[in-house]
Amino acid sequence: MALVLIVDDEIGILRLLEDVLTDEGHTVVVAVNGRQALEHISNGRPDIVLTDLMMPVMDGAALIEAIGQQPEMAGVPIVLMSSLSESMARDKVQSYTTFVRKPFSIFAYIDLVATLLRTP
Amino acid sequence: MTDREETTTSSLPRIESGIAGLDVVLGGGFMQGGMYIIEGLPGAGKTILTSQICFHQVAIGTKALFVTLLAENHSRMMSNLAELSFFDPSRIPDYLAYLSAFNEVKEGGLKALLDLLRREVMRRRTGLLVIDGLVSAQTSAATDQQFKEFIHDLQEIAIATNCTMFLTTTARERVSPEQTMVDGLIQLTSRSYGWQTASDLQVTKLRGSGFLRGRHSYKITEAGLTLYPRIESLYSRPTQNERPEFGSVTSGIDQLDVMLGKGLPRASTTMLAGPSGIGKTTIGLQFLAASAPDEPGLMFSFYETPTRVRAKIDSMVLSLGDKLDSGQVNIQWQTSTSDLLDVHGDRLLEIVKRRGVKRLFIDGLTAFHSAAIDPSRTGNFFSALTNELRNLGVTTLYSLEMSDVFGARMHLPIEDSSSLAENIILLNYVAQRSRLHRLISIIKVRDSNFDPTQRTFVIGDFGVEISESNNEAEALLADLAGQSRGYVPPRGG
Repeated sequence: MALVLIVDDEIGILRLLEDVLTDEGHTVVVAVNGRQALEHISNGRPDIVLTDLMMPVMDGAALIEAIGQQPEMAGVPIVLMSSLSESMARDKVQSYTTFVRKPFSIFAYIDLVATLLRTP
Repeated sequence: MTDREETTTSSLPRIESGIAGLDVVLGGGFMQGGMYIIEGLPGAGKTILTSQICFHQVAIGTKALFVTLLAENHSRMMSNLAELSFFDPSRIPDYLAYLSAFNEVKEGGLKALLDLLRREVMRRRTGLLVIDGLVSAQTSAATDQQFKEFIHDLQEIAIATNCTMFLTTTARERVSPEQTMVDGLIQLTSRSYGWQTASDLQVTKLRGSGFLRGRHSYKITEAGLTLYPRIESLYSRPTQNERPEFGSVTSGIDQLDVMLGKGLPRASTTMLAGPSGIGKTTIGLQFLAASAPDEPGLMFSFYETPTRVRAKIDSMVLSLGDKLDSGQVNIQWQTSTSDLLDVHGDRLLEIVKRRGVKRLFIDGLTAFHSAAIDPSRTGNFFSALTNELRNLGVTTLYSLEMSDVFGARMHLPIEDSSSLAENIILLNYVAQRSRLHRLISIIKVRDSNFDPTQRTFVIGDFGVEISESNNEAEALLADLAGQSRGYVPPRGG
């Protein structure tokens, strides 16, 4: 199974995704901001990154930009989550794989992660 | 329109409770994926209320889960619920499953409970979750903060799975942390007033929707919980765009129409006040006898049984008998005067709307008054009720018993009741030597140049017969005035 990195400052969402994806058999690491996420990435390349947009310290846009500068992260799917609409989010960041609008359906989210992990 | 608290209404889909009155109070039901606390003392009806919502939802295809946190025997709970008409065992367990999480809480605390709930909700694709006995989860939390986090995490599950959640708990005097976090809070309360007990439901918080504030009465019967939104809050403003009704309708008594000017103003409310036995019910029956196919009638009666009313009709108001037989006029007798004010109001308006009633005779307004646990409500209640009846184009006549048997002084048992009627007809007795005489007078009529003189009347073979002039009443009253001065008028010519 996969190593999943979840980045969100909303602890409830973070815990829910962590529990659900752990139940799915994945190894999950969590971070509450972009800086913590980069620390996890430096310890090992995740198979997928699920990140919120608006966070303190380092937001999702800055995190995605930093990931884009790391050649070893090339090809890792990035799911951008936000309460904002995708068009508003796109003003801040473009280089993500898929956008998920909050609040999301956990069932659809699980399917999305499974699909992205299967995609070569 | 109502005195519903005006807030921005969320566009989130709603789920209906299946309890008509509750959905009205909530402005359409609960928000899907929301979390609600149902609070009340033991026996208040929390389990019945939540079970009723579950069975309503599973009947339309939703999957529901009822999780008990206390060491409760599910078969005992189900055998109690089996007495209620909404209970449908064919839906258990495929659509409605009962689970105990007592061991999870005991052995693994809140984390184990949360894991169980998340997994079961997701595995079963549950759209509705009831957690019965939240207090058990609360006591297992080491700190308030831990319990708040549990509620928060549960809320995330509700949102992400689109599962509407109900948490039942016992009433508390202080505001608890979870109350501030959830989307809605409903309190069930029972209060004792003398020998009576009244149960009421109050929504104290509802996010994303306007709702009817204040307390609303409920009853628990074999049909489950029935909620009666407070009439004065429900109808504080007319439910339709008010269209003034012009013209008049006959009172059913020719001479009374003459005294009123040209009958009763259409869609108005008339108080018929007088002492016991003077003929109020007879006048009401004659009013109903003037019903027509396009103007159906209803007698909403508290005291006289349908059998006694029918006997009176058959002996005097013959034309009404045919109209009763054909269904043009109905008698709705209230078998229990111990019912609550809003129960009567709801029943009355339901029949009026369903049957398109245009002539309404309420026999015994004081019974409504007696049904009010809080008498200070009565004025506002009647005001809202009569406004709605007027709005529905109903011409209403109601009888009100006066304690004064003699004389023309109006001593009414309900405060401000005269302000509730646009028209007032007063009936009273006068005693002349050893004989009682009946007098009728008009006190006020909406927009009419009515005859202010008093008339005598009798109850004859065909009901109330009013004298064509005021001569007899005048002679009678002059005689009484003379008696009081020790003067005996000359007799004969």
